[in-house]
Amino acid sequence: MTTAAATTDTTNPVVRRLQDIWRSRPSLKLRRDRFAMVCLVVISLYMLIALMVALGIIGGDFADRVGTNYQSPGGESWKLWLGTDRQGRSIIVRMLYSTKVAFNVGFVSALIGSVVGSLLGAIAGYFGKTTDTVVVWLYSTIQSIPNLLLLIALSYAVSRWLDRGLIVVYVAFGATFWVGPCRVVRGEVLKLRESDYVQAARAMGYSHARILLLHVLPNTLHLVLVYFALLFVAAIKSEVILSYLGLGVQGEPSWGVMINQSRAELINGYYWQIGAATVAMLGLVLCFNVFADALQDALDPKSL
Amino acid sequence: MWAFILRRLLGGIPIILGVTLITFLLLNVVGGDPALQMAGKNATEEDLAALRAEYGLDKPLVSQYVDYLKQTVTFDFGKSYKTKEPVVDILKQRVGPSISLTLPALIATTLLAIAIGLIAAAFRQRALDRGLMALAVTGMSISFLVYIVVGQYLLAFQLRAFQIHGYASGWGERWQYLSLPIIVLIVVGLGYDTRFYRSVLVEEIGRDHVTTAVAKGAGPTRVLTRHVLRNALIPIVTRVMISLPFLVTGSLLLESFFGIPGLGAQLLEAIESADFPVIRALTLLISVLFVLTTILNDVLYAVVDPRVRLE
Amino acid sequence: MRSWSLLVWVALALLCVNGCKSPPKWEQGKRYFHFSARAKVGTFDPVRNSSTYDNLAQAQVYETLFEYEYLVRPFELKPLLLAKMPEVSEDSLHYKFELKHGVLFQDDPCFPEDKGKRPAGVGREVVAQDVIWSLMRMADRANSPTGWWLYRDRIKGFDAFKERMDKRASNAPFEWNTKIEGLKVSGRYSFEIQLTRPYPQLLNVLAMGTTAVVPRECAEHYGDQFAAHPVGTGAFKLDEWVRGSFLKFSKNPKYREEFYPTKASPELEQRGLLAAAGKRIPFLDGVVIHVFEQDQPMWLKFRVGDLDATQTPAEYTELVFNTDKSMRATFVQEGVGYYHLPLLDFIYRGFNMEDPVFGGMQPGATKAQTERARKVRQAISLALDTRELNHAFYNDNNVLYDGPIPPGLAGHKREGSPYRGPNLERAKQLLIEAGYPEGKGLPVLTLDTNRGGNSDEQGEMVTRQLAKIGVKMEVRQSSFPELQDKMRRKKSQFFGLAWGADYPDAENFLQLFYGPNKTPGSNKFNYDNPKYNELFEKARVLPPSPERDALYAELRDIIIEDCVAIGSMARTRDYVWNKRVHNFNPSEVWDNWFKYLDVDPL
Repeated sequence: MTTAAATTDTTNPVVRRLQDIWRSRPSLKLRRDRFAMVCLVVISLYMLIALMVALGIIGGDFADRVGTNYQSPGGESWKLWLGTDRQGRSIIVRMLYSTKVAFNVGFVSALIGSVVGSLLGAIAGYFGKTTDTVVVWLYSTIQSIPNLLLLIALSYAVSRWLDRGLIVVYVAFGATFWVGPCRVVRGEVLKLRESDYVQAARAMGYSHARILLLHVLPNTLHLVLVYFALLFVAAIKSEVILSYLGLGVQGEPSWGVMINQSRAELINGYYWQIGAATVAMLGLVLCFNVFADALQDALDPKSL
Repeated sequence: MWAFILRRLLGGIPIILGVTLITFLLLNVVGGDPALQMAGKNATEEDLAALRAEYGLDKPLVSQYVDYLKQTVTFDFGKSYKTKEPVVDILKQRVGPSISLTLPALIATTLLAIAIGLIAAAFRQRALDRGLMALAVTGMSISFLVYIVVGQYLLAFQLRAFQIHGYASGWGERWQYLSLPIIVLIVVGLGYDTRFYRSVLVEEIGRDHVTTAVAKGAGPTRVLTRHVLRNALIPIVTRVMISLPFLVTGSLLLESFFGIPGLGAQLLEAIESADFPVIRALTLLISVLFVLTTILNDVLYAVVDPRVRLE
Repeated sequence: MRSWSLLVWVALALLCVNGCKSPPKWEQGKRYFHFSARAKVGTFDPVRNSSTYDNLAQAQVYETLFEYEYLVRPFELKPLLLAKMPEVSEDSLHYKFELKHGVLFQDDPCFPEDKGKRPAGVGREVVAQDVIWSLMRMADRANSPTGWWLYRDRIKGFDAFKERMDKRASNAPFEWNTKIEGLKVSGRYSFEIQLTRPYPQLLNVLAMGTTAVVPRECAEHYGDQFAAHPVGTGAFKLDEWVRGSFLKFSKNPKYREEFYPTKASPELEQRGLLAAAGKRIPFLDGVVIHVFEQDQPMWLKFRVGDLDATQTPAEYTELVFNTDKSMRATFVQEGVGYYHLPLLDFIYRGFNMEDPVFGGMQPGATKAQTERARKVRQAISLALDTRELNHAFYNDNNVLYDGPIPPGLAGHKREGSPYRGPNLERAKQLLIEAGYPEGKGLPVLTLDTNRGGNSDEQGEMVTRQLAKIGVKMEVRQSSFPELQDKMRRKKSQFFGLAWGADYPDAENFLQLFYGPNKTPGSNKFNYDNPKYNELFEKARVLPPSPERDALYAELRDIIIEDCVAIGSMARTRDYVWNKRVHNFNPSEVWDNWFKYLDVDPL
């Protein structure tokens, strides 16, 4: 997997590693997978929408009335294309705005989870001994508590002290999500520790921090990447459950909030809110799943 | 062998201790004051103080933790804040319905997923495989809540194929209430399991002995059942085993939508009313089961696969 | 393959369910009434009763001294366990009660044998001592009673007794035999209550479920399990309680001779409710209360006929009713009956008066600060549009009103408050007067609501409404315990809550603003206005009279002027019932009326 690293002038090892990845066979393989590429395009579209929301170009008016209550889809303004909710607010605007929230929740929690996880994993694997025992104990403990229970207990506890909507979600997800990447990175680092170039770096007297950050961690990046995609999906899906319990996003719409708010409307024939949120979520989660699969496939040494 | 088991069991102790510590920290230290919930409206400060004293909540945190550890060791989890009943009694009452829901679902999901995974693996990289996998991923990408709401509305109400809500204690009667929730659970889990078993089976199919068997002229059914499935047994058993502890909790959402009096619904109730003893006991129960099944799994693994040494 | 045939079997087994949907054996040919509870039932111990649904379940098994006339509105008290209405002394401080003779507790293993009279397990007769003991249970902390505030500072010697019991060592027994001056047994069936000051609501309190009469030996026999083993005198007994799913009651075979009422208000008589007049009750073989956490399954279960009666969830009222609130034709054809029950309900958004900006009544506040904060509250009240809330979330089903007294009670004011919104011009003007033009300089207001239902969406709407005058607001959802905690720490600024009547008297609502009831009491507003307190103390000892009603109105107007709680609404519960149900006349003030119902047998 570590194809010739010396071909580039860049001294920044992370950049170098990323370039390696781009030029590597897995990357070529991934880029040839048309289905995965379509999914990547779809993800980029979602990201574009999220970006536009973040910049205030669309979606800022998610709380405004645009029509009568429960207007069915269709209408002159584009804001009425997907109808309105019980307060006459535009479903399409809320759906678009939720894209940003989904990326917020997905990105931040996945980032916290994979950064914390891989750092802890690398430290544990690299130093071994007591450090390793402690980290392994910590993740075994977290792992044996049912995920949802821990999430709920955490968001309860956090929401008492940090009254700030999304932060609660980040902390709760971050604190449970690090386990996966930690285990995998630890396993990989255990192998890497014995590799020639780490031994060489050690012999040259580099500091542990330098070896870890510049030589060990970059070589686990591919694994972390796959986990990042998986955690992203998990965060978006778990948010629905947290929102159902009233512990999720507050004060702004999210797909989870939309599904939760429309959970009793089906009987009235108001399918558009639950439908819009479900389809929007389906698109993103589906593409992320497919992409993560393709990524894993491409990185699988056996398939090279 | 016995030394191995014993060592693994001892290794489980710190984990259980960790679980107690985390649940204690989350609930007792940062979780708020349960006396307020218990006291009802127009309570005075003295009422609150009396309640705290009754449940030992006025003691220093360290001795509260020690009490909790004592409870853990003796499997006496104290009284529910909400109903004052012993927590053990509550768990006993509620565990049956949950398992009635989750165990059949696990069995059916596993069987179905292996069957579909086998088909997909047999036709790997062809249209049928891709179609099935696309379906699996799509199934995984829809929210649990949507399955419940839509399933209840369409299948139970519009088609009148199932009971909408409720439960019966009798073994014969309860299935009519459980069947729809079980189906929802199967549909939700099928995507994940199918993908997993497919990849396991694809790997097995690629092995040399399978190729040899095919070369010797064994029929496809024989190859798949004798050579592929048998060797895939270890990952299958492992996956089933690690999901066993979580059968106890049932399903939070399903139980509250379908009125099934299981531990999931109980947990939701406990969360809403800050009934900490119930939450703690349940967390601990599952963690212990989890640690035990992991150990059991390792032992089983060692027995099946002689390459694993029992050092 | 083996697994295939197994799959086929599983599929067949699941589909067979379709055909297995006939009524269960125990119900065939029987009259069981299926009703819904929209939240869980927590306890069967009357003194620990803390919710509408606890009440509903308990009222099937337990009985109180008084109940209300089933078919008379406005509410009229009538004796239930008592033989007649009590004799009251001239100074309204002394009450003499006389129990009915021959009222029996239901059979239960907790009753020991009474040599030569009663074998073990057979319910004994209710006597005056039972009433006193049941009231005394309220003073025992070990029972975690929720209703002590109903007696606090009212019955002679009772407070001193409770204080002594509270201070007793944790292993010391409860002193059942203490003679309390104000609670006296004066004969096998007669007892007396001596008050410290007039308590015009006393008889209403004695109709509340929490004051039901229980057998002491059973409470002691079951201990903590008493909450799951009710032993009462009611028309039904508890057969099965599957927590979180359903409760099944069957007819109490030993229920005394009681009859369907012969007296009715004209409008109720017109609804044909007197058809069963004078017949022996109960008519039902039993009651099943199904517990729902969600609206969808509750409604669907009613629509397929598995529930005989239910409340219409707000979302679905438009499916059932036309805009004029009459029932839609399809439902009329099916023979569905309905009743729009106005609840004695005070839904509000209230301020913590000790908040320096929005309350201005914190300790040490200057008069100017108080004035300024009042103007801010008045502005917020004027920006609040309860009509829009009512339309979006309650299908225009709520009654909007001013002040804290709901419709149906003396002192109620339907409209005319100068601070009823929306009037954005005046609101903006008041903000200028308060020194916050366009809301500039005002900190962000935090609204605390209870998690669940559509409180998040309601909060979003209020946020949007206040934004129109420049007041910024954030919504925080919490669980009920968290909310209580915030209130107790006086951390909440602005909160959305509701108060349901414990008894049909405005005093129950006005006490929410009485200074001495401040946190942790029922006065969550921490409102403490000497003038209000003085008037309230005067009003609460008066019997129903024009003089008292005038005081109630004066108290109400103080709250309206100060905008302590704004946006008052009372819900209307739309009860619906299927064709097989008869005599259905719902009430949520008391729950003892299932004994009057009848259904066609299955």
